[in-house]
Amino acid sequence: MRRTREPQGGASDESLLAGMAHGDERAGLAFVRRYQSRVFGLAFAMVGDAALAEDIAQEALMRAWRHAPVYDPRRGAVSTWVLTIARNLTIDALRMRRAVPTDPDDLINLGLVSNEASPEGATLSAEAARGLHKALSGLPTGQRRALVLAYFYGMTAAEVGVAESIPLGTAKTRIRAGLTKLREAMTSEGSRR
Amino acid sequence: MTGDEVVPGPECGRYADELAELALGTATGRERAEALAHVERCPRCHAEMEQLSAAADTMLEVIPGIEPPLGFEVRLAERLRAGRPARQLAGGWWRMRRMSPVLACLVAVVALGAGVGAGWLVRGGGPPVVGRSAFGTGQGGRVATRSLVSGGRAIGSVTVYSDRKDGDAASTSWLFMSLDVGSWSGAATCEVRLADGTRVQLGTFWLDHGYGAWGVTLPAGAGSIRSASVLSGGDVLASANFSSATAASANRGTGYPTGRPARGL
Repeated sequence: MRRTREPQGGASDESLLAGMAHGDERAGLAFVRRYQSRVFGLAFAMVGDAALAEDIAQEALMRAWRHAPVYDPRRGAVSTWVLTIARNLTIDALRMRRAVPTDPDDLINLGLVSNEASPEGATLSAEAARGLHKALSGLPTGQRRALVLAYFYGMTAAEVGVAESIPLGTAKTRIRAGLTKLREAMTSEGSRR
Repeated sequence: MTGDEVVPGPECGRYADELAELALGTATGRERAEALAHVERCPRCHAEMEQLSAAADTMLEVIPGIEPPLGFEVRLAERLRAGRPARQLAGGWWRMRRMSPVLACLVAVVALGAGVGAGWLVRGGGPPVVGRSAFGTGQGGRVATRSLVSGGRAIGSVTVYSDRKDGDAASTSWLFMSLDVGSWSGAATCEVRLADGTRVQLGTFWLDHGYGAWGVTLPAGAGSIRSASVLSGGDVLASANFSSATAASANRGTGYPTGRPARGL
């Protein structure tokens, strides 16, 4: 599923992070340019507010920069690491501001209708990305919404239950079933390649 | 993973829901502690949780990238230099609203030009001092600014900036415009006329009470920009004449990026 990238810019993500950790200015600039659109895009998709999204994106990139020395490649791809920082910051911002997040359907539809085949920094091949889109769009709506609320907005099962006006047990079941199906779809996509 | 490890233990079923919530990072309280304790001693559930986590993280790949507002890199550099955690949200691209159009355009050009200078952003020190013009253009780069004219009156400006010479395959060009044209609000379209007379619409942005600022990246390609116009409903609101050749190059026929619509201006 994960692929090692030697992007158009030449250096791999890991090389850039290593350079950043040693104070290499060009590496830092290249890293920011490689990821700024994806980090900003994620934050903007979640909050729907460009000013807030920019603030989050900047904070996320600053943290990535500062924590470059402790990045552990065994724990995941660089893009996942950076985007997870951005996602967590966005969740915090939404909670602090009690802001209304983007509706889960809108958030995921944004990705499903995107024709961006393989954005800069993507860890999935175009084929795997298509498989992911297919898997997500194939989930029952309730499961997809529960999954998005939990993953992108950090909601507990109880909070998903309240947001969706469903019992806690149903929320838990939807989250588990949705994630399990997504896992199965991605596993089978990986085994086909 | 061995055959023994894939056989669910007697407790595994109890934690099926919690494994998913652990993978998503949303498990809480005593349930989380109990599930983590189980995962620690159950290789099967540990592997299951790892797989679920990886599946969850692939969702990050669904969200498409969006180019951040102009000046993003410069503001990031400022924050890195200052080491401050967060700025007030009213700033950024929208800060240009309070500037004169010409000044806003100048700031945009300086901002992007400075971004080209690799040294400044990371070091957190002063601007780059070697091999850069005042606008931060690379060797041979050019910048040209023309007034946007409406009814014989300058109501804004258009700047075309290129970091390399025309014809350089690696060059990148940008077009920025800002205008203040009364009190009307609505969508406006930027259209350029190329050297061969072809007209190309680069994108649409919003005017808020007459004010708008917008930019777009122009990939290297054929043709210099000879004029730029702002249209609304088929009418020309204002235009700028680049009668002399500029550094602007446009990639005709391959689909221009529409840029990011200016929101909240």
